[in-house]
Amino acid sequence: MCVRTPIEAIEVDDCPNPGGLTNLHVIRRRDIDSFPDPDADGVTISKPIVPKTGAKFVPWDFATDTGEVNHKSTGEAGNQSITQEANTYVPRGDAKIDAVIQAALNGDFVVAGRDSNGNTRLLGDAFRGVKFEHDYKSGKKGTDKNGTDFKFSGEGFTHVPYYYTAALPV
Amino acid sequence: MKNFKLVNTQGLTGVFHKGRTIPLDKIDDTLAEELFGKTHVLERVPSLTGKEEPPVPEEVAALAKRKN
Repeated sequence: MCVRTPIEAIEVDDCPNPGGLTNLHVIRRRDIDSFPDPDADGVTISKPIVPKTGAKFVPWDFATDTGEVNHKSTGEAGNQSITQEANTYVPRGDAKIDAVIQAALNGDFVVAGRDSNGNTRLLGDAFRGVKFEHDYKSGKKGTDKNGTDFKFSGEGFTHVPYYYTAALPV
Repeated sequence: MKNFKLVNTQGLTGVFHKGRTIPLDKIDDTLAEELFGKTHVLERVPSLTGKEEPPVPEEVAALAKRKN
């Protein structure tokens, strides 16, 4: 049952506020043994995610200034929910990278993206993961981009990507 | 590490915290204190609580010295 929470004030600050992601870590949702409940604010997870024995979050590197985490409200009035999304760009067509891509199709993931402000945002939760999509393009001429757009996305969430303040097992 | 021990580390090489990947063998007591409760790989050693042992009383130290 949904709990109606009071609307609080919003304050902005004057601190530096860069955009973009600096790190991305990925795990299959089925490899998570315990996914903690959010704190009282409903958006922060301060207890650690525990993976199943032998499983861990793996880093997926990406080109600088190509990582982003997005979330937005979707649905008609009275039926709104939240869509979560993370995008990166991985340069080069490469057998090792393509093997990872191939293995990730139809996977159900939980993804942790660290933003430039130092927040780690978690996409997916205990009950619903995010799916992986890719789009590789070799380019046509020497100065074209040769690499793969990565995308994780999921719909129907009841929360924004959680702010994860514990440590990730890697 | 004196006050903590690593547990449940099978398959893991470290933890990622505050933008840094910390290898398991680089976790010292100071880091462990910061990470404790934020990861499932650290357990506080129950017999050693991190408190320093009480200093040896002067008389006892003097006795020990005389013995030597």
